Amino acid sequence: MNVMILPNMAWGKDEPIARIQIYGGYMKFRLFPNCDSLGILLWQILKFQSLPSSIGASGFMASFSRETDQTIVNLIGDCFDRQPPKRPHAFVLMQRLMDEYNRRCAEAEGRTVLVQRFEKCRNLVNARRLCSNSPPDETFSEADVRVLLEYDESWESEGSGLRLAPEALFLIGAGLLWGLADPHHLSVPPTVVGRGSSSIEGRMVHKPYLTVG
Amino acid sequence: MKMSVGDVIAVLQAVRDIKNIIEATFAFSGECQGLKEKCEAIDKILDGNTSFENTEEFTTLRTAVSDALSYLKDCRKRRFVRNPLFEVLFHSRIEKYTRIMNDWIVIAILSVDVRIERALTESNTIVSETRHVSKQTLGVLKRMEEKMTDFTFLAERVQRLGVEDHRYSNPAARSELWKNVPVIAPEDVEIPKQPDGHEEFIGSLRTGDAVRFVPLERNKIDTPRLLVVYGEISRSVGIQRLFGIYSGRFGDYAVMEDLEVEVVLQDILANVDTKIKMIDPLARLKLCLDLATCIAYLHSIDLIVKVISDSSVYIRNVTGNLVPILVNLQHARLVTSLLIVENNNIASFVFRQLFLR
Repeated sequence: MNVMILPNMAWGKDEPIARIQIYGGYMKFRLFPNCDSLGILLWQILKFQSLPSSIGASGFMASFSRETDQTIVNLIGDCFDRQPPKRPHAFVLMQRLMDEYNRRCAEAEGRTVLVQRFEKCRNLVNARRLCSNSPPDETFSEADVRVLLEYDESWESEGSGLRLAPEALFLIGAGLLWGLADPHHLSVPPTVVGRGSSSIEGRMVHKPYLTVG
Repeated sequence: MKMSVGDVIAVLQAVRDIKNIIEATFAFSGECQGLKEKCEAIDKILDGNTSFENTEEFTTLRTAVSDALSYLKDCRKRRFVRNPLFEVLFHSRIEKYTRIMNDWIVIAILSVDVRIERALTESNTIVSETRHVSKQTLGVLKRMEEKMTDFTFLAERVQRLGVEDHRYSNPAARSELWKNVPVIAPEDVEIPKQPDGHEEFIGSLRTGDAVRFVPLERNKIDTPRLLVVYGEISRSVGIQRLFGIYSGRFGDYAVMEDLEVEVVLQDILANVDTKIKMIDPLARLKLCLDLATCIAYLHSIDLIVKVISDSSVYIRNVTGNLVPILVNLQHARLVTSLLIVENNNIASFVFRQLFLR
């Protein structure tokens, strides 16, 4: 048996038997007091709105279909997809929410340029993931790498609510993997013993050794 | 030597678990293409016609898994993975399973003859004992049964190494687990009013934390392990905290965080409780992010919460930051792991069995 384990997969005796519906559940059979749904919970928080105990699935779906806030629809809209496999995993939701949170934080702190730079790097990585055969048209600039390194420990530090560390670390790693980031922009200390290679391309180092501008 | 037939299953299950984690991580990052090949190599061994009739075949399996783990560690060092949960996953699962795998594979290599002998006599009880034995595992057992020859020379090595029995059925191993469960001393608690029986009551710790004493079945074989598991989870994620165990007049209690002092989200949303305001949209978004992170973490360790609504989330105000705390985890379910060998239902695995609510 070779089965990919998905977070919302339930197991029977010998094999996975069903996907547990975590975002919306078996909505048409339940009223909300008994319904477990991360999507509905997030919607309630984002809208700052409680749901009447008598509301049913059709009632909720009807009110969600009238949702005018496009950001909310983009964040959690597919949690209520009628086809359960199309509903997102929790970590996908988490990443969406983190991206949106960082975007709004950056706006509030007047750092929209920073977010744009991250977005550019993210788009380059995504483009490479879709088409990795040909060499990239554009790569991370030295300034991009410098910014990514600068924020590789950004986790709601003093005076800033930004949580850019996961994104920065991902982009650095993905940039190296897909040949978008020049490893020579990251210096390697001479004391580091390589994992089978003395090549600079094989290693990633931490900020204390950073010599870039 | 006291080896159980479950050891064979444990070895193979551990290997499969590691493979599944690697696969999940592969999907998680979407970047580490090489991991796919490593996983396929493990699959090839597990799904192939390997009878594990000699140490070489076990060594091949171990090498394949170690190879995949090394690759995974390398990926981590090169920071290919975007999600911080990977780090949690890595620390809580990979290293643990590496250790388990190494232990069990060594045991398997050294004592396979004994277990095969028992497998022959106990094969009918394997399924009922373990509840979950994959076809693959049974297939391997069958092949072992058919082809296994003389491994008596290994018994001496086992004796020399002093290999322990299965850790959960071994009293000594259980007492080791108990050592990892913090014990709350009587002088560290304040109990305003004790009930007349083994019932739940409230109190406080000397540190000032309000706590709830939940009756505990100490003699159950799984109890120390369940406490350790719950303790580990509650340290990593925003769920009701477990402080330790307390021995009272009528029995033992799990000392749990008392959330009565916190505000339930339902009341905040319905404007019943006005202590906590959630007017700022950014604060609400952050709360959603924390909740999603919490659920993503629980999913990453194969737990499905099942019951999640505005009445199962408490909000704590920590110097202006709103922190969500999940409750009602007694309904959670374990979807897959090494522990599935022993019990495939987290509800009975951790919470429902642990507490006599």
